[in-house]
Amino acid sequence: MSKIIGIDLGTTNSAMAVMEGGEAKIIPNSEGSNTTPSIVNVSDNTVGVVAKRQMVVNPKQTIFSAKRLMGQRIDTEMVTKTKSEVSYNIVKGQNDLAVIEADGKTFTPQEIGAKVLAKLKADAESFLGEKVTEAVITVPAYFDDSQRQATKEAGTIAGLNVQRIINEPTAAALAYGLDKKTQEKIAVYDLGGGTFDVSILEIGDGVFEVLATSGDTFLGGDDFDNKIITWLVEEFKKESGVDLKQDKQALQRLKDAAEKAKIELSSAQQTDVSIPYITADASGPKHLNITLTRAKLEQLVEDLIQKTIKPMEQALSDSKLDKSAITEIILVGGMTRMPKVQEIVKEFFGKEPHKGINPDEVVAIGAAIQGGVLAGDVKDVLLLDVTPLTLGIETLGGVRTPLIDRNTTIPTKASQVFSTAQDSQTSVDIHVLQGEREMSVDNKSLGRFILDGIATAPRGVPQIEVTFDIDANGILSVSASDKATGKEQKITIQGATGLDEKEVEKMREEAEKYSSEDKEKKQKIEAKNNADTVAYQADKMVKDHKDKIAEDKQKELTEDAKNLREKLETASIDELNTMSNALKEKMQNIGADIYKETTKEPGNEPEVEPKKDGQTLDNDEVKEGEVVEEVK
Amino acid sequence: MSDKKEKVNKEVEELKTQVIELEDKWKRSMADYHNFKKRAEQDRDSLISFANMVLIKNLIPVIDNLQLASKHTEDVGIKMISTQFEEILKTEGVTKVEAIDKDFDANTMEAVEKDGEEGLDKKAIVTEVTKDGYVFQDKIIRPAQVVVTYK
Repeated sequence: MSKIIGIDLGTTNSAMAVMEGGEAKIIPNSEGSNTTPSIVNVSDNTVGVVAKRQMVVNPKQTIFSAKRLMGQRIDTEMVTKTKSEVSYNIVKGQNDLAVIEADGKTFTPQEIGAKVLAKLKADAESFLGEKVTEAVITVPAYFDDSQRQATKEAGTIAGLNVQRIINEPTAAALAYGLDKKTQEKIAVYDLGGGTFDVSILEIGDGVFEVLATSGDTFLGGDDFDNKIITWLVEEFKKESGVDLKQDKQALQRLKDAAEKAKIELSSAQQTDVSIPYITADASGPKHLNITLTRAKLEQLVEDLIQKTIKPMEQALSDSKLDKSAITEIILVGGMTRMPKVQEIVKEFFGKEPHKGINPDEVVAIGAAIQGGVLAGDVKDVLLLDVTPLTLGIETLGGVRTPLIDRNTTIPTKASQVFSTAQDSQTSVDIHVLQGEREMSVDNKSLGRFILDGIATAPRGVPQIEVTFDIDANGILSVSASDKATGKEQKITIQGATGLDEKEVEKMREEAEKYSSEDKEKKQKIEAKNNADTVAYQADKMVKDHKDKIAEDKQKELTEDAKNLREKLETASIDELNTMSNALKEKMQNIGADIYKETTKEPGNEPEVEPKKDGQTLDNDEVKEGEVVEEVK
Repeated sequence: MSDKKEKVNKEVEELKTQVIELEDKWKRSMADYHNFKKRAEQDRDSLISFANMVLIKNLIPVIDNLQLASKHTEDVGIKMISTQFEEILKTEGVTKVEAIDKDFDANTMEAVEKDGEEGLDKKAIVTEVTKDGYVFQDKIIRPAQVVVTYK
């Protein structure tokens, strides 16, 4: 069965989402935006932002806010008010329903909605790379049967099989996972582009019931912008004596600036509205440079926000509930990003509202979840856990080497090859650690075991593969296997993923606090280990190739190695690295000489494997220059 | 005896169904994952070529204002600076939308004012550009803001 997409067919803007990998994901349109203006030019059938751009040029054929007319009779207040706000013709159609007359043709609101849906469908197909025929579409909770039917029809005209029509507040509640609750009362505060809706829902046994709805059908973000524009015009008049109200181009710049300022003031305490060369008069060009504080903005829009209080009270009274009976509050719509709006809602209900999901997208996301349930995707919700803290083992110097990063989705598996730290080391101690600190002693010990029977060999030669495997239940298995002998040991650790949230937070915070200290400690140890290895290699080189290296060079190597070893504890990280690199370079040069010596007779070349990714594989399989992570 | 056999058979049938279900779910998961990977790669590639465009988009209003200043002043220095900015855009591969006197095209332009009325023999022509439009690799960074006259 193909995917069922969720569509929020809004008055001003529409959005769509789909379930993918158990999560709802917003589908961007062909222009790359997550929302699409619900605007249609019926003469060339352009939809969305392209239609919006030419609205001013073709006002009679550019249809917007068609949702207001969906399933509405011509003589209703809604239609009358809408007529006064639009430039296209609205006339009486069949059964006294409102229809649109444009470009010499008649369109039902459904047909306009269908054009928006058709664009969304096409964009979804392009994004998902597959045909899209199934959808869930949302409608306001107060839509009556005729309006719901009309919406469904719009879907059908667009080539979509509308599997379900669900209420917008219900979709929002689904997005926040509130369908898992029982016998709870939920309030949804939806302040969008052009309308305000408040709904009271009850959830029980996975089913939502709408107890009451109220709102203001002509209150939205645009009204807030207009308050700012009016104030800017007034202030500018005071400062310069010029009235910008008659200047269309200035008003356009003010409009852009006002919207930008409104958005900025949701995070900043004040913003500078700066419009150079906004106009000119006899005395020359004029500039607008006015500071708008958050406090002032809140003052300007206070009456608008207050307008939302009465509907909230109305909805409560209609559902015969007291404020205190509401256990969950959800914020929907772009305007709810404004701190003052959030404050009012919190004050009114006495509780913090849910606002973690993008308020412009939350309804589409909920619709997608409903689509997922209908498609059987979400039946046994496959919720995958993550491992909350990093898992690793202890390596030379008491360092923690990570194998699985925190927040890795499980089940998961990770392997890494380690080696011995000493010559002739025949066993390794695998110490399993959990935490975010760099030094093993600062992490939680989950367990340890020993793998023995490792064949005697110089340090860094044996290959011990350590594998961490976490199954879907969060059970961690750690195994160590000697690639040469095939010998393996393992342990199983329970509850490595089920940790107390507070504990996890505490460990993360500590890691943050000590992160630079830890980093330095780790770097020091790495430098030490590296230096020690280089010194060891230098000695080995002398031992193995005694007859091919000049006496004085031998002495140099031995001296340098000795020096390096002596300085291990006392030298700084930089010093150690400098000395190590110098010695390595010497070894490389001497190595080149040895090679020349060995290949003096033609035809004597030993077969060397061609370089793979820039490495030569010599007998030891030790990557040149890299420190092999070693295990005690 | 046959009672037990029936029970086992039933269990086998249930398990068979479960296996088919699980196999299907697993395949869907893998498919979702593959699709996600493909998309992530595409996103990453487009991010790399468009990384600078976000920054340029944010700077364009400043370039607008500098051009305005250049128009309203005799100061040669300001004019030079305005030109410098335009050169940078060109270097980055950002081109200006040719709008003035052209037919209005909503793909690259946004109309903010209309003069005259629509008519059968009338065309919508751009008579003034209030803000330049910019394009990068066939994508609109910012549409041109124009005044359209029906002629």
